[in-house]
Amino acid sequence: MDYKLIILGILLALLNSSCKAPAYLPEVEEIGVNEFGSSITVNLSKAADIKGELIAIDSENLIVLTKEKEIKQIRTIPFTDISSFKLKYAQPKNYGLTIPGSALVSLSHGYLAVFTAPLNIIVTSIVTARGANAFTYNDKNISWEDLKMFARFPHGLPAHIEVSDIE
Amino acid sequence: MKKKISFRLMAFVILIMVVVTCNPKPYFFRDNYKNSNSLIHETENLQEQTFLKAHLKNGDVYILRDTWEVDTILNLVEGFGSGFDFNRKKISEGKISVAIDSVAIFETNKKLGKTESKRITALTILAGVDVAVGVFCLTNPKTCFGSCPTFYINEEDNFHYADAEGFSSAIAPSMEYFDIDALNNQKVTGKTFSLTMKNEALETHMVKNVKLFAFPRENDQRVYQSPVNDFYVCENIYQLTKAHGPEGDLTSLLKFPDRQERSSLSDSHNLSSKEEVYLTFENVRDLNEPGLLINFRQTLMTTYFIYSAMGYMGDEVGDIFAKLETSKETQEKLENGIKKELGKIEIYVLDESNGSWIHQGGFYETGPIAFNRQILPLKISARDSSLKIKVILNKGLWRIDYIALTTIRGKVQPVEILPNEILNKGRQDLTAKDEIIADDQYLISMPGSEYKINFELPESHQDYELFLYSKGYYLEWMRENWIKDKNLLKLREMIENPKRYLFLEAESYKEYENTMEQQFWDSKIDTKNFSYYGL
Repeated sequence: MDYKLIILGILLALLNSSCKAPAYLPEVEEIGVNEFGSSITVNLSKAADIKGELIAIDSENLIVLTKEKEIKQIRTIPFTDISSFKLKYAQPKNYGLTIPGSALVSLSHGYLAVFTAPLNIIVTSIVTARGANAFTYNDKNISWEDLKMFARFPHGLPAHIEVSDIE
Repeated sequence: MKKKISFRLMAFVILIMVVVTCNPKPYFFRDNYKNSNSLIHETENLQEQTFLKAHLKNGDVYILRDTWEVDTILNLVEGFGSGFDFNRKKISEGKISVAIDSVAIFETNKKLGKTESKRITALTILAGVDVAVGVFCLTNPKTCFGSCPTFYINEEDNFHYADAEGFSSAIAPSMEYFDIDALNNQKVTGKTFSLTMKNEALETHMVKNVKLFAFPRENDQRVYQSPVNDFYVCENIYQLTKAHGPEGDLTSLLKFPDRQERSSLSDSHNLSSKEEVYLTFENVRDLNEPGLLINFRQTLMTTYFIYSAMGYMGDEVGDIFAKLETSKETQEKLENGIKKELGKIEIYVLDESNGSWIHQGGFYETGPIAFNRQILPLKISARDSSLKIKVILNKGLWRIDYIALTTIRGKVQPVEILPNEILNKGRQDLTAKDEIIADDQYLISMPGSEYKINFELPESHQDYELFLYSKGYYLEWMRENWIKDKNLLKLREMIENPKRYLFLEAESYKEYENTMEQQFWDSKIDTKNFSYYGL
């Protein structure tokens, strides 16, 4: 049982470390001086999720700059296609290693690991999950209007800029 | 048990999922201003001068750090910072002036302070708990790491519910001996009976033999083992009418085999002090050849002595063990000196004709994990249907779960059954089987090892009373923290003068005992997995 919990903890940590934030996101101390838009993951009702830098929001669409295999692409997503979204505006602190670390510490507790392993994994999982989600908004806690503030162009896409020119 | 574990695992996974998917309370730190007037008026009361981002209508952005001001006469925003084009390539740095007319929107951000403080506090508290438990385990390793091979009928059970423990006293090759434990099995169905042998300690187990002793039994019959390894087929169970000890009435504690055990704390002045418990049986219909049944195990006292002895040896543990191997005298002193001082659970029956207590014999089995279930044939000349018994035992050494009377119907001989198959991690291990059957070989079991041993019973439709025979020895892994406890003088005293040692060691043991007992009793009120049974 304890080994199962420890393995579960390690898997959770791996899962967590595989969800790294994009490099263009600032550290939390640098939020105020970051020139880019925040990172947004848009869940679409009828298509695959889209993840990228939030470029602008107009009255009907979200404009996102995606990057796949070094190829950047502008995606214009109508609000009506969006089922939910999650916005990340700063690099989260990664506490993922505390999960396997604390699980391994539990091994030194012998039989008492029956108590300490679940406690360690639960607490470190909570801390890790909360750390990972600390600098985020989602569709439940921010409006479209407020979301604009986190775009590269909070005032909307300037008229003279062609979306194809955006990098 | 399996279902419980599955349920707990599932509940845990669900909890983790809930946790992973929940979001902490969001921070709101960013504001936008569409003109300089609102910027000036809404930021003038801010305690801290914020950074300012001016998003230009052409898509450029200027980021002014710390010091910036709005020149309402020239209609400029001025300060030090950097400018970026719409693709965020840097176009300027240093002193910057931005015409307000060119700005589409201003942005300010409050600094987020101490965003990690709660998480760091939680991890700090957790680290404190881990360190405290770790220190506890280092100083009381037996509590955390168990001892000697443990055997389970249900392989999913944990050490709290071990069905047997093998050769607990054999801490060196020369101290090897065989151990027979009643498995107290339910009615056997089918031809195969399985046991799982685990090494749950920081020890190397050298297992020479494992086999079953099987006794055919009929309905209402049980077979019990005496302290000298005779086996008796018995009928009838007569429950205790009354039990009384120094702490008061013990009847409810000792009347049923319910794992509600009676134990006492040691004498703070002398670890070999004795105490007495009085038992009364009334309305016993058949007092012809009675046997006293007792389910018992030890507290952690003997464990403490074994660990203390290892600690006293310090870095000379190898030399001393080598000497033990070659000196029968030292070996006997180490093995039996303290044991003799501590004594057995001695049983006396009252001879009502003259008021004297007649000694019947005693029970002794080393080991704090599995229950020993044994019988002592009583030599009495019964006159009526009641019996009074006195039990003398060392204070703080024994845990007794159950005492009853039964009627002995005869002495029986076991059918010996060797392992038919041994599985190691689910795969047949022929080498292990050969080693455990051969008299001149050992199965070496390392920490974490688990072997499932299958036995083939002689008759598939016959019920059997089963006992486990195990023979071997084990080697404690010397732990770093023990080295500092080296005290050869104390070791000598323990071996040469155990009476004095038990007198002088009482104070030190009491500190240890209090911690252990507290843990034990705290855990008694909890659920199965969270109880402290077995240590």
